[in-house]
Amino acid sequence: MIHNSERLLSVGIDIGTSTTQLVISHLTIENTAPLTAIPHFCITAKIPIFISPVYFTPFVDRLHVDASALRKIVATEYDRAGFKPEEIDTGAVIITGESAKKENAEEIIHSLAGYAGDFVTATAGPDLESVIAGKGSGAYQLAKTLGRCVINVDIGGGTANIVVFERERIQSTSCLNIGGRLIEIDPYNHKVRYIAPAAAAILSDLGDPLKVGDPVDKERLMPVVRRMVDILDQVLLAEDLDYLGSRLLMTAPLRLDLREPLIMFSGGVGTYFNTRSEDWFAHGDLGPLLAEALKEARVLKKYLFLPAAETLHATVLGAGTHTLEVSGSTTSFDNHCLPLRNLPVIPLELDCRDRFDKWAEFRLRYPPNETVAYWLPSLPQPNFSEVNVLAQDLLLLLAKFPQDPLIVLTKDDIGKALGQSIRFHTHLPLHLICLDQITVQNGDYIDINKALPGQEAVPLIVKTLVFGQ
Amino acid sequence: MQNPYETVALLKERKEEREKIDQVLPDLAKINIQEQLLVPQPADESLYREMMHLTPARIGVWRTGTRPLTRTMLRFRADHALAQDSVLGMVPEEFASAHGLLPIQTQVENKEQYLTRPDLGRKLSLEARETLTKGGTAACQVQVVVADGLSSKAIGANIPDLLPALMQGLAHYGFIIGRPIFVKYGRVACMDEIGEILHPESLVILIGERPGLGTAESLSAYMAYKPHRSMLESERSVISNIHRGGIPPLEAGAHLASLMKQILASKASGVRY
Repeated sequence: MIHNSERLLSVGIDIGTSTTQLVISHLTIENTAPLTAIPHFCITAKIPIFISPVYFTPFVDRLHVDASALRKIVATEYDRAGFKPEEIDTGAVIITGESAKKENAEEIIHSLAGYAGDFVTATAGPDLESVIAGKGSGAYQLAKTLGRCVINVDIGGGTANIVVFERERIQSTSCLNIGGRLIEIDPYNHKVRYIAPAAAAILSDLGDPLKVGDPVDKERLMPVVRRMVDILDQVLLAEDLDYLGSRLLMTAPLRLDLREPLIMFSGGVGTYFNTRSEDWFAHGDLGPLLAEALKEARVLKKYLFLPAAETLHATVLGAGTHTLEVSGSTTSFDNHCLPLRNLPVIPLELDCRDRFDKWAEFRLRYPPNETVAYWLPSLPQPNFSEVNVLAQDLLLLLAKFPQDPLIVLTKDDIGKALGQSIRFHTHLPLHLICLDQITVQNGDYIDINKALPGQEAVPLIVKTLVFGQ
Repeated sequence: MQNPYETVALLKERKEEREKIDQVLPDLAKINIQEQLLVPQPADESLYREMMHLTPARIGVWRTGTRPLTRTMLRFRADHALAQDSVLGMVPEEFASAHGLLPIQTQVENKEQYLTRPDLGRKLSLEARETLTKGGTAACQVQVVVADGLSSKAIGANIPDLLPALMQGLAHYGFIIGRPIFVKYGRVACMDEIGEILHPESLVILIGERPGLGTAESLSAYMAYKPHRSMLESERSVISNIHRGGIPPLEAGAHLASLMKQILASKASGVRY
């Protein structure tokens, strides 16, 4: 009667500035609660079973990612792994770095996610990318195990994504527009083939007249990569950023409040940090040189360096194994309304005067016909009548902004009581999704999967959808 | 052994006195020990704080020589006293009527007998059987019973939120619900006799758990499909640890409603379910 464990097949696809990768993993979801308690489902094991080769991300031109080539990569790799898209239970496609700035990034990621499996989610955004890379690199696990602060810096082709874990908490994230592929070099004749806008800003800051077609060597480019590392140092050491630094920073600066942090590097550049290259332009970019300059970073004298468990595959592993969460196990929902994707989350303040007016005001920031998910932050130990009042207020909000189904997410373990109360207070036919023990932030999106068989726990993915300008 | 009635009277008498003292001396038992960091100058305060939050057990309490601090000792004794109060204390007489419960009593006559004769706590008094026949609901789908059990505090702390959430949930599913009953001096198996008198299809009893030093307010819910006197303990389903620090009473009420639905649907409870 009771299924105490489920094994899900999860895919991660990372479309980066320079490379595209795919990983398929097994996720085990288990009930970890004793028999006399309410079930509590956790993801207890994450095992990668298939890792694709590293592809160059296909582009039609400088402004467009090649959708059909990407689809072909996914089809080929599914075929090699021996899986069909309909066998994939969950997972995430993440578009990162410079690729997320392409004009068709949003369209591509949604269509690719739809193709890759029924509940494969589309995600993008520099802060989410930082977190995913830090989880995939092993930094999160290390911070949790050691009870320490661990900084992960994932440096790819276009961006450096930084996350600071303090034990199980994410203390801060940040993203810098520096990476190995901001200048492309012909691997055969060593002439500059492309200079990205961010690289042009660095060159103009240095007063360097480098242009496309110029022949280069290691010495010619070292000042450029050293300047990148200098900016990275400023961010990692929480110094005041210089003009170039503030131009290259894509998010809020890193907030640091830590003692004896550990630092690790992942991403393509992180791979070269741990090895040694002789052929500097083997990939036709700055990657190996940037790793070389990174070895002299000031931050390494201040923080203790540890090699990452995963470097090149950090983001794709993170996307495949660290995006899925499971809701609380006492909830209230109409399973036939699920799955639901890309729902914007609207946090509803509870302890404020005229809360209903405030709620309506928040709701008006989104198109009136869009289906949204309302999120109730901490509501510690509410009593029966408070929950009833809340249920009636939510029904008023539904009357003012009709949508089907009504979606309510809560932080505290009250999903079932609130759901029953909402149903009790309306005579209209109502489809309802009321899930608990979920933490989201304003601006997040959520994908909600079908419930685990025979259970009330629902797998879901909290994510951002931020595409570069 | 002291007569429990006298104990209760004495406690009442002392209540006013205690309240006066409380204004001068803070009540030790009201301090949240999971927030109390007694180790002076911890190497990693935030980690220490997090570890304290992980368990209500008395960890990180520091020491004096090889012994616990005086305040740790006093707190231990205060919690022990609370646990005893909870066992010896009574659910107020007006509780049943305030929550719309039909009050009955087992064959137990006082607290001392309750503690020494568990068998009597499973049998209903003659008067109780009559009250049930006259005022109870026969052959309902779900019968809800509240019993004091070993913790009077668990009843006062949880039932005001749990019971209405449970009733609302059951009503939402459209079940025929019997008039809820309150059993004084009740043990879990008093449900068996109630089952034989009223013949409910299913029954859930909410009963105070034997208090520990972590909380004196923990409640259990035992559920049975067609309870009767020859049923085995293994045929009851149970959800335990219902209190503010465990399964929140409100959510427990909602959850119990859906468990009752499952029990009715599968026509079985406990290991048969």
